[in-house]
Amino acid sequence: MSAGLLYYLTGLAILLGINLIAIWGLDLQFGLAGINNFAYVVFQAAGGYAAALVALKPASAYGGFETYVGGFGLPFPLPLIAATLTGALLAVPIGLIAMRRLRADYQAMAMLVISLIATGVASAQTGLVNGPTGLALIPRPLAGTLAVSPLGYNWIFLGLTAICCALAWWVARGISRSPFGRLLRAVRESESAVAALGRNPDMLRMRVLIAGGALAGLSGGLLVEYVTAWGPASWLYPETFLFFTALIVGGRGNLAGGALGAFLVPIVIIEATRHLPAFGYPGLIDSLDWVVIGACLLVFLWFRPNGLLPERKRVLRGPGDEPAGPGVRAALTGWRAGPR
Amino acid sequence: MTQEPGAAAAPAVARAAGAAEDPAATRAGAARAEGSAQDPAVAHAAGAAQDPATAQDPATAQDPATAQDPATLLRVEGLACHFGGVHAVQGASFVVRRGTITGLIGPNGAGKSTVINLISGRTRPARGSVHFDGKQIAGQRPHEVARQGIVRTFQQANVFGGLTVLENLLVGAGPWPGERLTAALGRKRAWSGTERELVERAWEVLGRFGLTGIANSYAAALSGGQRRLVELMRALMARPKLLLLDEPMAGVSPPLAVTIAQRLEELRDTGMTMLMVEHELRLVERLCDPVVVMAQGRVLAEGSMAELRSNPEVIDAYLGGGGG
Repeated sequence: MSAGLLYYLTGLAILLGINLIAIWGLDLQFGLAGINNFAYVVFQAAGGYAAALVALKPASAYGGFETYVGGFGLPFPLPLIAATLTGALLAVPIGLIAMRRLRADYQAMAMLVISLIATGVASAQTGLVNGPTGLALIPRPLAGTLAVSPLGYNWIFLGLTAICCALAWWVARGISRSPFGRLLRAVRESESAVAALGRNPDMLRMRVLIAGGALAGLSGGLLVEYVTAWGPASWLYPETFLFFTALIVGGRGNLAGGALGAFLVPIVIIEATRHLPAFGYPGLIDSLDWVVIGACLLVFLWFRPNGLLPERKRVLRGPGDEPAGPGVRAALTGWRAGPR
Repeated sequence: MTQEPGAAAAPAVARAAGAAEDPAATRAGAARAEGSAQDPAVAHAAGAAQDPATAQDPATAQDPATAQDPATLLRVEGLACHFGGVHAVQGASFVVRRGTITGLIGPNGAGKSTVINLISGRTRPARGSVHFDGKQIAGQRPHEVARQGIVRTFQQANVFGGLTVLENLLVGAGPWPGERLTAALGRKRAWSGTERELVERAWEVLGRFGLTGIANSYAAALSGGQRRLVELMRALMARPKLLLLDEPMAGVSPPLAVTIAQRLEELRDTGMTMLMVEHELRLVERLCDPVVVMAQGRVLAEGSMAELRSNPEVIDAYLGGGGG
């Protein structure tokens, strides 16, 4: 295998990992709790900007060709930590604005509007994050201290991405298999019944918005540190629907489903169309990406709304249900997959 | 795979639902877990004394009027609610005494379900008060009301369709510390023990209703009557001091209605307090005493069904010539 192909494949693997983290974060919000967070890409964008501004030196250090606030020049892993925290903290105002007092369908609209406003603000305020041009020259983690080839650095970054994926998997799995995750699924099914049983649905949704926001922020931080540039054109609102499509195709409420969707939609579809022979006017193939993704979403919503790997049934065995075997306690929290 | 509930389950439904010795609830420190359904006096004392934080809150402060009447669990006074120009409830007043099933009957549009919504916090009252266990709770949000010990069922069975029956019951039990986000991110062994105990308790409740066979079926796959039972069992897992039942027999097949009635009788006999909206008057007569009659948003009369059947106002507004 040539070094060029290997470089391409490791780059794809890094992007897969970054998307995986983002999709697992969305799965917590949408798959488990049923939050139609159409502003999801804003969390990723905020994480990206936070990582960039923490990693970049002050604008004057680069000759003033771009303008932005901050620029702290802090080393790895602080940019990624800042990205994660920013995604989590951003959930609080967005949750307060879009989720309290609004019905689920209006919540979705409010989220979408927030996404549009965020893009508009980031584009219009040139002194904030360099306006529509966006930020460039964002330092890569440990790039100054590691004397390796571009391919070697890709392998190192892939390792870092894998570690972050493992962390995201641990968070998402811990939540989805816990009594907290069960409550989130209950909120998804009936908010009024959850409230009638003594739980505050608003607080439950806020907590998972924070948890999912943290993962989105982390994915944004990783993405920015890998591509070294970030601007409003990178996180337009359709990107949110890319994540939603991946989750619906793969299967919401199922980590393996999210992983499958992360592979099939942002990687396979996008890369497949990239390798199509050129035809039509310039930009036609790029537009076809969204046509294919949109059609894919519609097909799955119509014919397989639970995705390729649907949410697993949580089978719990009780004492009276226990066959001869390892004992009641061992069997009580057993899990198995099963059809809906 | 579904299974019709056995009609002759053991009498002590409430024992399964509200056993006094529950390590899970004890560990959780959930206030309402202290109030066993079997012992109204204990429940009253626990509810009144165990939460100093809320005792200092004017919204939940002790109410001298109800505190002096230990037999009264719920006192509704001058409750009113309107939706735009429609006055759904206009100054309703009644009490619910401990250990009784109080019936709430009346024609369609009388405001019965709205009263349930007002008590449970789903709808905010325009005026009036709701004193529960010595505390003013009118205007509190649904989860706050539920934490006081009032658990409700809905006019249309409101189960968690994408959860199994057993999971539905587990959501009923709580709140407990294992449900926190921090617990989810911590060690499983910190909550798995309590979880197992809750599963055992839920299993016992299922057994009392003869429904262990559907424990791991999705609630969405059940019949309307079975959903009613799941909703009732889930409410019992919460160990309520007061159970609000909004038309528990609506859409239920006659055999299942008999089963539900038997369970409610058993619960009543063990001291559980209930307020039940119901249209089936034979059932109301069998289970409820007293019965409150509502019409056009007002309380028309109150008494036993025998008394109400001879009340001309009630006959005119609701019972008609046939008397139901």
